[in-house]
Parts: sequence; C-alpha cells; structure tokens
Amino acid sequence: MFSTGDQTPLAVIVRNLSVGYDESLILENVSFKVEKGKIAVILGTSGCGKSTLLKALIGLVPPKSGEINILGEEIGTAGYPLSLRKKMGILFQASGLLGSFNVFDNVALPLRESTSLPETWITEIVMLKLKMVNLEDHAHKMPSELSGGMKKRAGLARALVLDPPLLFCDEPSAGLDPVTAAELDELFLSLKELLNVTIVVVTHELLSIERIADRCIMLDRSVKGVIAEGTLEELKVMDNALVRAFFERKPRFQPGS
Amino acid sequence: MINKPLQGMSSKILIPNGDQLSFYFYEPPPSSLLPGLVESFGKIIQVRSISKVNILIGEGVNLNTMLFLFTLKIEEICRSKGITLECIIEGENNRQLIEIFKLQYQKISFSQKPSIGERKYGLIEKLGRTALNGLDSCKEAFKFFLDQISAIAKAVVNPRIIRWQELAYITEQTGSRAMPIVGIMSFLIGLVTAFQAAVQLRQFGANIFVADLAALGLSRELSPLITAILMAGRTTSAFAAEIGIMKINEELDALKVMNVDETQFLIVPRIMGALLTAPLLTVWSFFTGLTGAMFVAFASLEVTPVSFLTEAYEIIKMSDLWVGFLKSILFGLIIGNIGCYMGIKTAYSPESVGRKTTSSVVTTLFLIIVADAFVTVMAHVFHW
Ligand SMILES: Nc1ncnc2c1ncn2[C@@H]1O[C@H](COP(=O)(O)OP(=O)(O)OP(=O)(O)O)[C@@H](O)[C@H]1O
Ligand SMILES: [Mg+2]
Repeated sequence: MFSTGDQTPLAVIVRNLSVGYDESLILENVSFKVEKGKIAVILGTSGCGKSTLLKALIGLVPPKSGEINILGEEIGTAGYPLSLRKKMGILFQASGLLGSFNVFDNVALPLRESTSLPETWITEIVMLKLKMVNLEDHAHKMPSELSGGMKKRAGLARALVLDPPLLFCDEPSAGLDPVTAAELDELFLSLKELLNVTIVVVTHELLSIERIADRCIMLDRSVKGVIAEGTLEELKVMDNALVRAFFERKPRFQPGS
Repeated sequence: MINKPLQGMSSKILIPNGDQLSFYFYEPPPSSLLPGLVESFGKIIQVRSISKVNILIGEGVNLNTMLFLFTLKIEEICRSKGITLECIIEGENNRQLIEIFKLQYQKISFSQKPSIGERKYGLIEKLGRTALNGLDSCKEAFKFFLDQISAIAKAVVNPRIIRWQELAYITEQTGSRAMPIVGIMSFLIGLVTAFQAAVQLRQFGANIFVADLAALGLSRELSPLITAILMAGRTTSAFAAEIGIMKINEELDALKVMNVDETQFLIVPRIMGALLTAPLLTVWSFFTGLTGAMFVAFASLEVTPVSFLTEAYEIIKMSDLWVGFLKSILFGLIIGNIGCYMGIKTAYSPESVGRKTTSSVVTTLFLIIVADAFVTVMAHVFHW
C-alpha cells in the first residue's frame, strides 16, 4: 500500500490520546494517523480542542494518557525529545513572533540556535524563505508593524526555515485575503509534492480544505474527540448530523429556539 | 561523465579524481557540513589545478534550501575561476525545485537585509535632544496628572460612574494583600530603630523615651515611607504592566471604539484604589511598627507596654498624624499616577512593557523621596 520504501510510512500516530488542562479534559480517546508526505486537516467548530490537539502533538500540553508517535519516535510522559523539535516547523494560531526581534531575526532565530551556519548563509536562507511567503521587502520591520496576515506569513517562514519534514499549522489562512490564502495553499502543495513534507493543518476554510486536504479529521466538543475521519469526499456524504452541519454551514442553535 | 561511486564510498561526499573534483550526495547531507565543504573547496582549488567539478544529487536526497545554496556557491566559485561545472540532479522533483529556487533567488534584493538604520548624532546634539525629550515627557506627565485629578473629581461628584467592583478588586489587590508584607517590614523596622535607640537611652536612664522616639519617627516619617516604597514595588509596577499589556493586546483600542472612557474605566479606579490604600496601609504600618518598638522596649529596656503606650499617646500631637496622613495621600497619588501613566505610554512591544515598568518604579521612588523632603521642610517652616 505504501510504496515509499520507508520503514515507517506514518509521520504521526495518535492512540487513545486524552488531553486537557488541569482538571478539565478537552479531548478523550483520540486516535488517528497521518501518512508521510500527506496533508492532514484537523477541523471542527470553535473551541472543540483543535489547538489543544496540536499543542499535545508538539509537546506543549502533556498528554493525560495515550500514546503519540511522531516520525517514529514514541512520546511518553517523560518529555519531548529535543531532536524531534528540530524536525518540525510550527506555526502558532497567534503566529508567536518575538516582539523584540524584527522579521529577519525572528526567521533567523532557529538557524542561529540549532545550527552553526555562517551569517552569510543564514542571510540567504532567511531571505529565500521570506521570498517564499512574499515578505522579502519587510525583513527589517518589527512584528508590531505588521498586519495580521503578514504576521502569519512571517511565522510560516520561521516554521519552514530549518526545512522540516513535518509542519504543523494552526489556522494559517485565518486573516488572509483569498489571493494570499490561495498562494499559501499552493505553497503547502508544493512543499508536499516537491519536498515530501508532511503537513498537519488546522483550518476552517472549506475552499482551502478542498484544495489541499488528503485526509480530514473532524473533532467535536460533544464527544470530546474525533467524530469523523477520511477524505473530504467521504466526509461530505456522511450521515452524521454534526458533520453535515459543518459542511452546510448550518447553525447549531436556531435563534429563538 | 560521472561514474557512480563504488559501494561503501557512498558516504563520502568530496572525491578528487585526477584534475576533477566530484561532490556526491546519495544521502541527505548533514546541513551543518555544507558551509565547511564550500570553504574547503575554495582552498583546494587554490592548491590544485582543477579543470572540472561535478555535483551529483541523488534521487533519495531532497534538494532543500541548504543544498541549493551549496550548488549556487560552488557555481559562483567555478564561474569566477573558469572551471567547468557539471551538475547532475536526479529526480523530477529536485529538478523542478532547483528551478523554483533559482527563480526566487534572482528576485531577492539582498540590500533589503535589515540594517540598523538609526541616525547617529553628535554628543552635543544628543545631549540637547535628551534634555528636550526629558522636558517634553515631564510636561506630558504633568498634564496627565492634572487630567487624572479632574477625572477623579468628576467621579467623586458623580459617584455613579465609578466602577465599584473594579475599585474593590484593586483595593483588595493593593491593600489587603499588601498587609502581611507591610506589617512584617514595619514591625522589623520599628524593632531595629528601637533597638538602636535603646543602647543610647539606657546610658542616660531615659528608657521611657523610646516610646516618644518610635511614635514620632513612625508617624511622621517611617510609616508613610515604608508603605510607599513597598507600594512602588508592588502596585506601581503592576499598574504599568497591566495597562501596558492591555495596550499591546489592543484592549485599549477596543475600549476606545466601544466609546468607553478609558480614564474612568481603567485609571480612575486604580488611582482611587492607591489613594485609598496608601493611608490605610500607613496606619497599619504605624501600629505594627509601634508593636515592634514596644517589643524591644519591654525586652531590653524594662518599659511595660502600658507605660509605653501611655507615653506614646501623650507625645503624639494631632499635627504629627496630619503630616503622616498628608504624606501618605501624596504618595498614593504618585504611586497610582505614575503606574497608569507609564502603562499608557507603553509602545506596542513586549520589550516596552518591561522598560516602562522599570521606569515606573524608579520614577515613583524618586518622586516619593522628593515629596517626602518637601513636606518635611514645609512642616518645619510652618511649625506643623
Ligand atoms: N490554556 C488553557 N487553559 C485551560 N483551558 C484551555 C486553555 N486553552 C484552551 N482551553 C480550553 O480548551 C478548549 C479547546 O480550546 P482550543 O483552543 O483547543 O479550541 P480550538 O478548537 O482551537 O478553537 P478555535 O477554532 O476557536 O481556535 C476550550 O474549551 C478552551 O476553553
Ligand atoms: Mg485554535
């Protein structure tokens, strides 16, 4: 079935994962898999725990129980392996740029911290990445001088700067215009096709999902976990009322009822 | 033509062969290796005459940014030295990628790399600018101060606009929660002062005067100062940081567009809270300080608590209490105002929050000492 010849054709494996903050459990018994070199989209209504799931995958929220396996490395309760962090790029929902660094230095930070490249190489790599997200003319700006969408793109450039084989993005196209959002979709596709990058994206944009998703994982608050999983076509014809409501853009609560 | 390396040689990247030099990438190279490789290539071509360079990138290798830059740099060196370069890239993906990379690379103008664009001023000009800026910010701070006074007056005249809940919360945070630390500090300072005095007083048999000393010193000077200094550390900094972060999060902008008067909403409750708690904490500090002194008086000067308190009660005049009260009110105003002012003046960066918070505490401490000296001198001149 998987002809990549790799030992583990799966980039992310999640088994019976439960995550929460302090006392409250946000997700219970979540299981899913993401194949290498594919784009998986996590979707669901606001507040259902998409960002929480992503944070559990990247080790910011320790799992209460269950197993996570990323790029063949098992992540237990003992902590997150440092070497793994270098293999993944992460774009946060609020972009996570450091306010006291300008865009260039923000993007250069991972290179300076985890490689010993000479400064000329760093400059060229950073400018190439900034060019990729069309921010090469704004390298000298501080994050406070950027628009919301520009912050997102700068965050993406930073996430990509180490050429990671695995990319996690929390709502990359929220706050972007349709043109830029489409460019971002193309970027994701070319990363996937040309560089074989595995991408896990949280997004609500139906158009974007249609364009990029190889696999969809839909979460819902009512079950604190996955209510549907499969390709977009499979999800669209599902009988589940919650899934239908999502794709038909129906409100859950009728006004006045 | 490039021959594939022999079995077992695949881990070797740089292979010389007569007057040819070959780079083989059959597995992804550790990216930290590449800059060094370019450097040693530069050295090799200086000592050996090389006529041709081969680069082979295998199908199993993803042509990432680093590898692209590597080929680019080798290409540059070869061009400048007139060496022929043969670049064989296997895999359709990699061939596409290198084209994309090349296209993007050409479009970048590296002059865009940020430079520190700050203008350099001469020493005299810098001095002048600093002075003018200082004057400006003093003016601005004074105007802010007056605005707040009028806002508070407005709130007092029309108490319906006061946010009582917020005021209660702030009073709790700056007042009740400061009681333990203010109490402990005052107790210790009363204790230490009395202890210092005890050594001298015992020599003259003037043991009972320890009460006079403690009561007067604490009511006029020490209690207001201890309280104010602790509040500068706890309260001013909290106000500055809170409001500064609200500004960064665009909360202040949100208030503005919702037609909420940010002065009445945020600043008046804070300044009123500080105004309310400063005198109350001063009173608390006075009594705990007195307790500390009383403790020493009893333990090392054989002055009983009853005679201590009677003596203290007789020596303290209303004017002593008024001076202490006046000071605490002034200090409260300074604490509240500077904290809020620095919060409002925060620029849109987290760094600025830190700077303004520091500067709020330092400014407050400075102004407190100035105000203290001022009131003490006035009290002396007018025989308060
Ligand atoms: N740091 C936190 N501490 C406690 N609870 C949290 C924290 N972060 C999120 N939550 C709770 O976890 C739940 C899921 O939040 P999460 O941010 O994962 O939602 P989401 O699916 O990403 O929503 P959105 O689409 O709006 O970003 C929410 O009920 C939220 O209140
Ligand atoms: Mg979220």
